[in-house]
Amino acid sequence: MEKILEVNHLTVEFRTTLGIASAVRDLSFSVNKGEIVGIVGESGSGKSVTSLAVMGLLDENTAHISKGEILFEGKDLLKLSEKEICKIRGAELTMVFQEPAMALNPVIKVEKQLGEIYKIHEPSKAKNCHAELTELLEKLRIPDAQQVLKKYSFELSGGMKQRIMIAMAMLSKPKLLIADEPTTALDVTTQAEILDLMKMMQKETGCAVILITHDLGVIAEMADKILVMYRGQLVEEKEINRFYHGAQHPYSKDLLGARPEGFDGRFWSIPGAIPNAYTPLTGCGYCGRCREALPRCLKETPKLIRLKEGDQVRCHRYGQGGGKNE
Amino acid sequence: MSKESPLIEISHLKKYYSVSNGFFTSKGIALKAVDDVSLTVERKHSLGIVGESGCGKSTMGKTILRLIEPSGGSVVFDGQELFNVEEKRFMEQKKIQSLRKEMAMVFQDPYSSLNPHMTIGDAVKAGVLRHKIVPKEEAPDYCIEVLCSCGLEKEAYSSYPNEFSGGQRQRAVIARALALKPKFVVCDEPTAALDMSIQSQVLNMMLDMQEQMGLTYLFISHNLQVTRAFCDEIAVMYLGKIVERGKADEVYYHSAHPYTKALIASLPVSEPGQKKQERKIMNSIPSMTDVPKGCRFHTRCPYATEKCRTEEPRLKEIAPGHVAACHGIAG
Repeated sequence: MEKILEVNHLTVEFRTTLGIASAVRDLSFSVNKGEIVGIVGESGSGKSVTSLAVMGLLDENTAHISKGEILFEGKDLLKLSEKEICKIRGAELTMVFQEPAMALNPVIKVEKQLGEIYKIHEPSKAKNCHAELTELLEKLRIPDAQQVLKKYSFELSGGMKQRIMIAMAMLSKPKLLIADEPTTALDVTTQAEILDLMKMMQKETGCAVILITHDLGVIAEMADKILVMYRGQLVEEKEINRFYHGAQHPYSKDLLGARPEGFDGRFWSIPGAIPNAYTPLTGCGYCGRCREALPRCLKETPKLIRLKEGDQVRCHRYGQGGGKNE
Repeated sequence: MSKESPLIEISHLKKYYSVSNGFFTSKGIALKAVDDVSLTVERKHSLGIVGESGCGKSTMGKTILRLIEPSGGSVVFDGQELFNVEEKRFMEQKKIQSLRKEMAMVFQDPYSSLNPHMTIGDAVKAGVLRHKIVPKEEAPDYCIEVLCSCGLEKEAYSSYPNEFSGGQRQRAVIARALALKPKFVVCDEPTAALDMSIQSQVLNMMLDMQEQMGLTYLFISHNLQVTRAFCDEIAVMYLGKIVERGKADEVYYHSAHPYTKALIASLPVSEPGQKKQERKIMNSIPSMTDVPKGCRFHTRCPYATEKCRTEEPRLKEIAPGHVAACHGIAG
């Protein structure tokens, strides 16, 4: 399989008045062409920072990428000039954000906002894109597409706004779409529709998707592969079926257990909370909350262990001495 | 259980807003946020209210506590009538304020429901002193005790909300509510802003406190899975009306109303490859100012008939304790 995105040893730090906050620590992963990769983890685990780093949208004044490379079709995005990135971003590499109300401009009509994509990336089409836009919105099952194009974003419901966001991201037929919690702000009924639409658009265009969410149900429905992040580190990478039937990292197991389906008088919960990003990482990042921690977990940071078929897990219980591939 | 009287009896509760339908017209149209809702909540039980955003569930929670003035109906709390609009009986403000300590509310957003200038301790203490829960000199110790029982550290007492994560803030908000030793707590999406793992911690804590203090919860949520697990009973709300009500498992596993079925079918699968039920709901929720005639769900219902378009269905009992409002249900 051909890789569309390869992130190697990405390390992102924020320099703030309180000190250095490590948001992403030595993260490596890759996304194949046409693949849907789900990233899960609690707030503060570095999921969104990773996606912003790939998009080149981190605030340069505070965020500092101290190490690593982000290869998009073999080109290192971190080495490109802003001008060169602008050519890729919004065209081949697009993003859908969590809060569509914040991501759309409330004082510009929908048609003009969508048209901007053409204006920037395909100026020849910009003048008469009306028919194309209407067709795209109809494909996204927006009733009255003609009318919607004439509206401002604040006149639309949350689900409708998110559809416009998806339209915007799909307009330029991207090769990679990053969706950061695309349905968290929506009702279950709308969520189900948006997920269906994303699946349909993905099948049609064959683009790769990075889907960031903390809802394992959404991942189960959409993804081919899952990456579990904790404290900025990748702790487990697995093919989706193997994850749901045999997650290995204690954190992954806890996340799966914490779903409300597992209720038996009480909900399964993970004790404690994720330490803040200023706390230095000693030993395993998860050892403070882990039910299976060993004495060495307090001192030694575990390395990622490669398992068969591309799976990886970062835990002392696997690898030498531990129960390998159990 | 031979019957004690229910803690809360809500009958024909209504809350209408008037919305002007133009810039220059002063004549309003009625927005029926809560339209003729009757519910009872048994003591030490939890009733879950589920529905899409904009169905009036939060408005209902606030109206029950009279944080919003009702437009119709009556609420009886623990044998005392809070209001009866038709009979023009309203409990005096003074009396209602002294009752406030028995009816608490936990809001959705822990970021906006704590005053950033007040320490957590002061926020909890304010209510304790106001309602004279304990003598003044014992108040700090008492507040610390409550904070600890809600899973916070002693230091929380003198911390400011900004030092806290979302989960900790929500614990503080719950502690503030529980410090008054209430009987009834309205929780409006208490965990919607939290991560899954933190959500389960907070919900477990709420279940523990329910057992310890004999609390009665009205649990407002849009998450059916969580509500099923947390509550004894579920009421499903659509455009201001209850469309189905019953024991939590009964509603979840044997749902009768097409809307409830659609909500359940919309839930994400729990494992990859699992076959999803076909989702037959259409369009999105109509505006409250333009509620469809007849059955209000008919515009989205795949089974709608002519009768549904003209005649409004009433709640019918389909199994003991399980009611639903749909013409399509025999009985």
